Amino acid sequence: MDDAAYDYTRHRLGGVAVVIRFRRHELASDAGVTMAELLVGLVLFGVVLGTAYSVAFTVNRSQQQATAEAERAQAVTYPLTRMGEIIQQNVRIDTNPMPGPYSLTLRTDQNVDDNQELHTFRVVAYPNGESQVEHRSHMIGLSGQVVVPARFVSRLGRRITNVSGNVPMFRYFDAAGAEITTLAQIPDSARSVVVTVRATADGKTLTESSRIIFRNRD
Amino acid sequence: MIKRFALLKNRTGDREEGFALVAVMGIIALLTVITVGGFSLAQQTLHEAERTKSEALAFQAASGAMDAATARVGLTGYKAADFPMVFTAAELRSGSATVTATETVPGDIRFTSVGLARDGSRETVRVRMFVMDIYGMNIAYGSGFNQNSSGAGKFNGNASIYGPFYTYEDLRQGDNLGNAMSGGLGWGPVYIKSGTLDVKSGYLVDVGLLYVDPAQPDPKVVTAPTKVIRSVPKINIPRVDTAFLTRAYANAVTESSDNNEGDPVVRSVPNSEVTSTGNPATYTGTRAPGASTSYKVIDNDGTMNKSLAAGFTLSPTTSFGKPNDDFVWNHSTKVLTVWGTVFIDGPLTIPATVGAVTYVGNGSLVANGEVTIDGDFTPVGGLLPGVCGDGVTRNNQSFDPGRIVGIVSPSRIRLAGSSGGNSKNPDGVPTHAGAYFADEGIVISAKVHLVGSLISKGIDVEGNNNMDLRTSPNLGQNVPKSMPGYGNLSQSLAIWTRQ
Repeated sequence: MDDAAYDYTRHRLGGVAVVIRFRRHELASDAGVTMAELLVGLVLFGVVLGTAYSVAFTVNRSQQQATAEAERAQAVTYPLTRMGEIIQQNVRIDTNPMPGPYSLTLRTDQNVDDNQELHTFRVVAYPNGESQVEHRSHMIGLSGQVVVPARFVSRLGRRITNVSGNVPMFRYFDAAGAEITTLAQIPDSARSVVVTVRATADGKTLTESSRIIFRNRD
Repeated sequence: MIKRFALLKNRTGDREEGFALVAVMGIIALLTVITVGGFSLAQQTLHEAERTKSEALAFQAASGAMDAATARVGLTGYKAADFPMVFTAAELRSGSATVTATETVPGDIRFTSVGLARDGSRETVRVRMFVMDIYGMNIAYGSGFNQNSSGAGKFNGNASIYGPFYTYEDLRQGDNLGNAMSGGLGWGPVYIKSGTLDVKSGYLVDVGLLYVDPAQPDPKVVTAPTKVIRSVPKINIPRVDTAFLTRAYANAVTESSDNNEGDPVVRSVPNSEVTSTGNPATYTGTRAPGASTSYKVIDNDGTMNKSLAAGFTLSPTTSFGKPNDDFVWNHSTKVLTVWGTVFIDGPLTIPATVGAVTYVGNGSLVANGEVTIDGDFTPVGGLLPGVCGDGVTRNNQSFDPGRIVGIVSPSRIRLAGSSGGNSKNPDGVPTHAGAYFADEGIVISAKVHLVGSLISKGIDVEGNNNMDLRTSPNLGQNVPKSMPGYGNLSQSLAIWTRQ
C-alpha cells in the first residue's frame, strides 16, 4: 500500500482508538467546495425549490377550490337541498305567520300517519354576526294546535345574505307559472316555490336557486 | 488555485455540518404535509359528493319502485297478496327497493318504498292511495254540496247523511247545512276536498273518519269521537261524455233484439223480444211512446244527438212492453222494468201524476237530457236488511241484485217529489233508491229519503228540506253494467312524502 497517497486522522470512540485513512486528494477536496460545486448545488437547490413551490401552489389552489366547494355546499347547496325536500311534500302553507320572501311555514305528514308536522323556514341573524336559515319543526296535535316545544331547531347554511342583498329567498308561483305577489293568495294558489339561497364568504357571493314543485296539490 | 469555502466544510473534515440534507428533508416534510392535507380535504369532499350521490340513487330507487307499484295497482287493482313488492338493482339500476302496503281502513292504503343504494344509503318514499267504490258513496266531486242560488236551500231540521260522503268545499252550519240538522252526519267517512267542516251546537257528527283538506282551515266539530284525517284524494269520476253515450246507444240497440233479458254478458236469461234475433223490427211487444225500431231506444232519427226535444215521459195511463222484455211499464201496477240499457235521446220525466213508481230489473235509464223524477222511485218490495257502515244490521239497506235501476244524464237529475222524508232514521223506508249519476248536477227539491248513491259535480238543494241520504252496503257490487265507471274502483293518490 502506498502510504504516501493517504492521510490519517485519529479518533477515540468509547475508548477505542480509531484511525481513518483518507486518500490524499479526498482530504484535499474536503477542505471546502469549489465555486462550480456551489453553483451546481445552488442550481439543483433552485430546481428542487421550484418544483416544491409548483407542487405547493397547485395543491394550495386545489385546496382553495375544494374549500370553496365545501363552503358552497355548506352555505348554499345544503340548505337548498334540505328545504327542497321538505317543501316539495308540503300539504299546506300556513297563514300564521303569513308566507313571505324570507319566511315560509308549511305542514307535512312525512310518516303518513295523520300526525302532521309544522315546519318554519326563516332567515335569522344571530348576535355573533352569523346569518343562517332557521328550520324549526313542531308537531301538530290532533285538534290542530301546534305542540311545543319544537321537535328540533336546526340552522342551515352559513353567512346567508339574502336579506342584505335584497334577494327573496322564497318566490311563489301558481299553477300557470305566474308569480304570486299578493301574499294572502299564496296558501291557496301557490303550486311551486323558487327558493334562492345567497351566501357571502371571503368577499365572494354564491347564489343558487331551485324551483320546488308541490307534489301534494291538485 | 482553487478557492475553498471553509463555511461549507471545515478544514479537517472531521465533522459533517452541511444543511442540504436537512433542507431537503424539510422540504419533503412540507410537501408531505401539504399533500396529505390536500388529499384529506379532497377525500372529505369526495366522500360528501359520494354520499350525496348515494342518497340520490337510493331516492331514485325508492321513487322508481313506488311508481312501478302504484302503476301496477292502477292496472290490476289493489291486492294485499302482491305486497311486499321487491325490485332488484338490476331492474331499477339505481339500487334495490322494497314496497310494502298497509290498509288500516278499507280503501285507504299506505305504501312505503325503501330504496337502498349499493353503499347502503337508504331513502324512503311514502304514498297514500284511496281506492273507492263510487257507488258506495254520495259524491259531489266538482262544485260541491250547495244551497241554491237564493241561499234558501239546505239540509234542515231532521235531515241526515249516513255513509261515505264526498264533497268539494266547505260544509257549514247555517250555510249549506241548516242551523239545525238533528239527524247529523253518521257512519262516514266524510271527505271534504278543498274545504272544511264547520258545525257548532246541535249537530251530531259521528262519522268515524273525517277527511279534510290539509290546505284548508282545521275543522270545527262539536262531537269528539270523530277522527280527523288531513288528507283528501281528488276522486276520479268517469264522465257521461260522448263516448259513454255512444256506447250506451249502441248497447240499447243491440239489446233490443238479442232475445236476452238485459246484457247477455252479465246474465244469460233468454226471452222473446223479437221473432228474429238481431232484427229489432220484429219486436213482439208494444213499443214505448217515441221508441225507434229498437224498442229500448227512444229516439226519432237513429242518431245520438238529443233530437228528441220533448223527451220521454212515463205515462200514468198507458203501458208498454210485455212480460220478460227489457223495458216494460205497467201503468196499473206502476211497476217499471229495466234490464240492461235503455237510451232516451232527450229528457226523461217521471211526472207527479204517475205517483210512486216501483221497479224491477238491473239496468239503467240513460237520458241525453235532463231527468225529472217527481215522485217516489224504489224497488218492488223495498230494500233488504244489510250491515251498515257502523257494523250494525238494519232494515232497508241492501238491494236485491235483480232490482236495481240507475239513472244517467250528462245534464241534471232533479228529484222533485217525494211522499216521505223527514225521517232522520238510519233504517227509514226510502222514497228513492238506486244509483243516480249526472254530470252537471243533482237537484233535490223535496224531502227525499234516498238510499243508494248520488254522483255528480254538485248536489244542489232547493228549499229547506228535511231530507236523508244513505248509502247502501251492496249497491257497488251490483250496480248495473250500464252505469258509468262500472267495474272500476276509483283510485286516487292523496299524499306523497319523502324521508
